Amino acid sequence: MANAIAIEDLTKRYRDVTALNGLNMAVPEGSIFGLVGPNGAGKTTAIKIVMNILHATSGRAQVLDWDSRDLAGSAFCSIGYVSENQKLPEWMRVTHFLAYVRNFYPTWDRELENDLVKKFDLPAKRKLKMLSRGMRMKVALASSLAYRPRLIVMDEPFSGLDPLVRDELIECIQLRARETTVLISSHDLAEIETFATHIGYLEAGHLRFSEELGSLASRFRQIELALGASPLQHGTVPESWMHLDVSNSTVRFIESRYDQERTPSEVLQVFGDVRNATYTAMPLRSIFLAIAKDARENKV
Amino acid sequence: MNQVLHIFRKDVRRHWLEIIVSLLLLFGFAWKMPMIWRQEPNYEAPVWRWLFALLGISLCFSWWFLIVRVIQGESLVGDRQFWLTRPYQRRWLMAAKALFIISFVNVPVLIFDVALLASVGFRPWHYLPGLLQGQFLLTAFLIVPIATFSVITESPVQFLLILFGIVAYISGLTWVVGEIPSSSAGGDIPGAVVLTIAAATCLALLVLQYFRRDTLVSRWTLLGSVCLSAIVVTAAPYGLLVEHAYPNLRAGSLVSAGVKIERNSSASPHDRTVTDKTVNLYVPIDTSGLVQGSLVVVDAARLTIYGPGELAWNSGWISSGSTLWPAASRFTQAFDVSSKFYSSVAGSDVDMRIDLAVSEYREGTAKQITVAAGSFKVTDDGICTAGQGRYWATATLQCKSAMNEPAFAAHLDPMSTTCALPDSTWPSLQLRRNYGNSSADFGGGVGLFPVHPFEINFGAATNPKGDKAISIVCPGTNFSIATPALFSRYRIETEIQAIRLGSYRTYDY
Repeated sequence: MANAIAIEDLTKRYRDVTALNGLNMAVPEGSIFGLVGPNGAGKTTAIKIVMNILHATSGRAQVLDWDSRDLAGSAFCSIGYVSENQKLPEWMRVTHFLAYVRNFYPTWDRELENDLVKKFDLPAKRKLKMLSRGMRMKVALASSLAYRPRLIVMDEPFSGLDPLVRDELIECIQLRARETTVLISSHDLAEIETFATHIGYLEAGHLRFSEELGSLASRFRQIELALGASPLQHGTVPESWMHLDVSNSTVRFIESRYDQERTPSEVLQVFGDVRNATYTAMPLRSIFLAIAKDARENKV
Repeated sequence: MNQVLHIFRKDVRRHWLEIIVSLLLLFGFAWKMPMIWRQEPNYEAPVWRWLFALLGISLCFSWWFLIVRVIQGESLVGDRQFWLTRPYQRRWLMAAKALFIISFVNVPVLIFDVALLASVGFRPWHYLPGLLQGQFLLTAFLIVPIATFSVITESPVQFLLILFGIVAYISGLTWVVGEIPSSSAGGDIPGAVVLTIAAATCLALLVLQYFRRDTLVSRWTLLGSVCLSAIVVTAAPYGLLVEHAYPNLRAGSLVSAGVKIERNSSASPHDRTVTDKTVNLYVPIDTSGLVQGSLVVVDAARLTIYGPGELAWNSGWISSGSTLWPAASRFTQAFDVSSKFYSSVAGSDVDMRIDLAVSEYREGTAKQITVAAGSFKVTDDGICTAGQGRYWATATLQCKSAMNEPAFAAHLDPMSTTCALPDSTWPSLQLRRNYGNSSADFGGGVGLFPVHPFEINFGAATNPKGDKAISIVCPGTNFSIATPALFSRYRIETEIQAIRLGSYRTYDY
């Protein structure tokens, strides 16, 4: 599958602070790519460099057919960008704003615009500065979808929104996902989990991993073992085991490369006498917590 | 191009109120403009003069606000603006902003200029180069600097902060340069270099911001040009520049033998206590040999004093501005002398040397003019009427010129006056002469002053006692007018020996 975005060795430094440190990442075409990570991980910086809003210290990014540094003018007819902290022309009314931006896009779909206005229940005559945060986000999204872009980049679009508005936006993104690639950043795992097809985890300017959501969910397991006796000693633990906790005859850990055949045999190899073993699938939130905790212990 | 009009329409829709206010202010300014064309006595109430000044300031402020707001509507500073990720073509964005400014600042001023010229009786299309020069000056000295600061700031408040910084910098630099000897007289070339740096910086910042949007680099560029300008004006060899501009090889009326420092033997030496850091010396200088039809402007003067032994002091070149012609060949030049030096030589005889840097103008072919009852043309660019002068029973020609303040030399033989003189033996009936600017290179008044008032004043005839005066300018009176042109720039010097400095502490009228 071709990539809509390919980031190579991207570094961004602000004086003494390194926001991105050799970031490599690929967003496959047609995917809904969730870029997640804690606050300050570098998600917004990465997105702003991709959108040519900020300049990288080194490295490069390819966005659709353009080097990100060349993104300007008509290139943005194929790309939509929505951000939680974007400054809209607040003096404009909703209809005026849509009419204003419409003129910039040859592919603008008036029918789709009308659908989106109806769907989002946008107050046509109201000035943008009089709109709630959620409404403003809807206006921004409507104005970024109506020209059917090939790529939509969204930076923390759901931050601070009520659940109803969130669901409306997600539903809309899912509908459009059939014809476009979506890169969406968020620190809220639960909302991303519901619709992302791919996930990338960014921490301290590094991409810890990036893969399909299905494969991620299938390779992480929470494992609980009941042993015949309390193990005074056990064999070498594989590197993919995280947060190993041994108490009396019970062992708990997280396997980050779960395999239906290999993992049970590795368990037997390490602990020998296993009376009972439970392999539980993990929600995305638990996976990230485990990874984050592991990263803090300097073990990836 | 479609984008240009689209953005322009949006900006008009957004700033319609500011546009109307600025146009109303311009209209008000035009309405009260005739007030400043009138010479003394001015019957206009002070409140109207204040209002006019306030209108002018408000007009400039409204333009500033309009330009800042329209440029910062698509701010080039920061990373949150929605337009950054929309298909704006930067060159069209820049063109749209330029179109807006041209439409609501330049064009209204052009219409204002044309209307004022027409209202006075000038044919505006005759002054197209002057009108365009006015537009150029308005753009170069007002619009471009405002636009430049607007593209590197995010809000009007941030703009004002930078502006205050620049004003403080210029004030400080002016003070520092003022302390440099000869700087007041030799600033043409450093000034031109600084203007070139400023113009290049403004253009560079506009291009840099609109096409690369790198505010950090832009601000460093501004800082760099500010430092470079400071180096240029503080390190310039002002004395050498004056000497270069006014070579010793003269080709003019004045020769050293004809320029004399007057010995102030009649003045009583004033050995008052010296309390200030400097002592004012007033040196009367008499010249002779000025060619008829010539006009000499003393642009700068330098005083050197040689005291007993090796004691010496030099004032450096200071600007002067005294004007000389055959009938007015004497002038007094003031110098600030160091108190320390003055005190050290006050009791001794000293030698004094004065160097003068002068520009000599020669009158061109004179044109005969007859005073008419109403308005009449005096040159291609001047319209005059005979009006009451500043003083009782005098009459002056109150004139207006188009675009430039004119350079002229006017001559009137009082014996040819058509006014009824009670007695033709009145002693004051010698040839009258009146000069306007010697040079009129600069014109257009930055677009806001297309009509310049000036006065041709031949004075009045007075009786032998001097207590009766009568006007000598009446309808039918002939006078001649000529335009002086630069003939030569040169430097001359004169010396006087064995004088006491105390003799020169009183201004000698």
